[in-house]
Amino acid sequence: MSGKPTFEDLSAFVDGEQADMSGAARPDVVNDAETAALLAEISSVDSLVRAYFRDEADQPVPDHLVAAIDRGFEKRRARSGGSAWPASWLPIAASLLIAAFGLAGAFYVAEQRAQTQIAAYEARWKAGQRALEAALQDTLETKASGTEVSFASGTADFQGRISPTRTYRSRTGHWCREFSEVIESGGVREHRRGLACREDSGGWQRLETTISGDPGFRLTQ
Amino acid sequence: MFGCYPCKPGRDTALRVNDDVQKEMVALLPRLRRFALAMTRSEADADDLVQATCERAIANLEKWEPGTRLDSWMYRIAQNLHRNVIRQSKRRESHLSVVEATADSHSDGEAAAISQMALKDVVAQIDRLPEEQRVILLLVVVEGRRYRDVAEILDLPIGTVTSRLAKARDMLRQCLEGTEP
Repeated sequence: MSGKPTFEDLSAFVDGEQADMSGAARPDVVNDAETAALLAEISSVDSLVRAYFRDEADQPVPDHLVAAIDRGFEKRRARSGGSAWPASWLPIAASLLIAAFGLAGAFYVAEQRAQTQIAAYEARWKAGQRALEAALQDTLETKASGTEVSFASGTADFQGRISPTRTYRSRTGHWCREFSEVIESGGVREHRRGLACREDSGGWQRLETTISGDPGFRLTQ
Repeated sequence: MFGCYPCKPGRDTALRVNDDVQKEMVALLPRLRRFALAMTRSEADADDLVQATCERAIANLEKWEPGTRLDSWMYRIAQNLHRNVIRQSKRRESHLSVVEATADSHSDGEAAAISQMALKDVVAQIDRLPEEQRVILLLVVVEGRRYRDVAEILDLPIGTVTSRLAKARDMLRQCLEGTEP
């Protein structure tokens, strides 16, 4: 049907973003039952999405985040207020020097702190990924299908279970295994399915990881 | 006032602006945290990301243009920090895509596995969406942002925002259909 809006058109229409849509395809012009049903479904989905995120917004903010902001602004104030000395106390040159060094120092400290935070975040992420990879290699190499293996990363809030589900030889003669995995991190659980094949060198190469909804993943045959 | 040197005109104004920005930043912490959670899905990672974002924002406050949205600017910082971390950790895995292109037949098994997946819970399904789709849902559906703003925050073409949002909604819609009797 050429005159019918696509699902993407409907999605944009709901958000009032259909400006460049041709008149004939406008959902409010088409006005057929199927389009109306799809619009109603989008509305239901949106309600669920709002409910999902509402819970997250209601969670209390950890005090250390507020403290981090307070600390950052205190430093800024100290920096801009640091030159407010009576003229008789310090020569102009000295106050300018102090201001200059103070400014550079405060920038340096703030930057260092941000870098430390980023590094900690990155280290946790990597530790989790390493634990997952080690567990995957071990499970695929040594465990029968149906066996479930748990793993946890010592330094990260990251744990999970891996279970091979099917084993077969590929057309090129490689052993391949399908597996399911459950990853738990930060109180959130993710169910995934994956496929890995054994390389000639002996390692298992993860070829696909499927979280439903991933655009790189074939949902329809 | 006595002996205040140098009394830069506008210093008081600058301090007042800082006060306001500080308050606004604290006030937007819950939303910033929700944004970070939508990306990381781990509370610990989200909190680290939020803290790094705030510190980076405060250190670079000169780059923020008063009068523009502070939240969009900070979302963008958070998104960049997160993307850098992901990029670094993925660099060594980048050869995988080459292998994937030559992956041999597994479609039967895959189709079977997918059909077995019980998509009972639409809400749980949101957890499983690709990170960017979930973030776009948050920004458009919950925060009511225009596609143009979202494209700017996430540094994506507007067409990509449009299509990913539609894809996410379609996925959830199908899941919804599946749960109906």
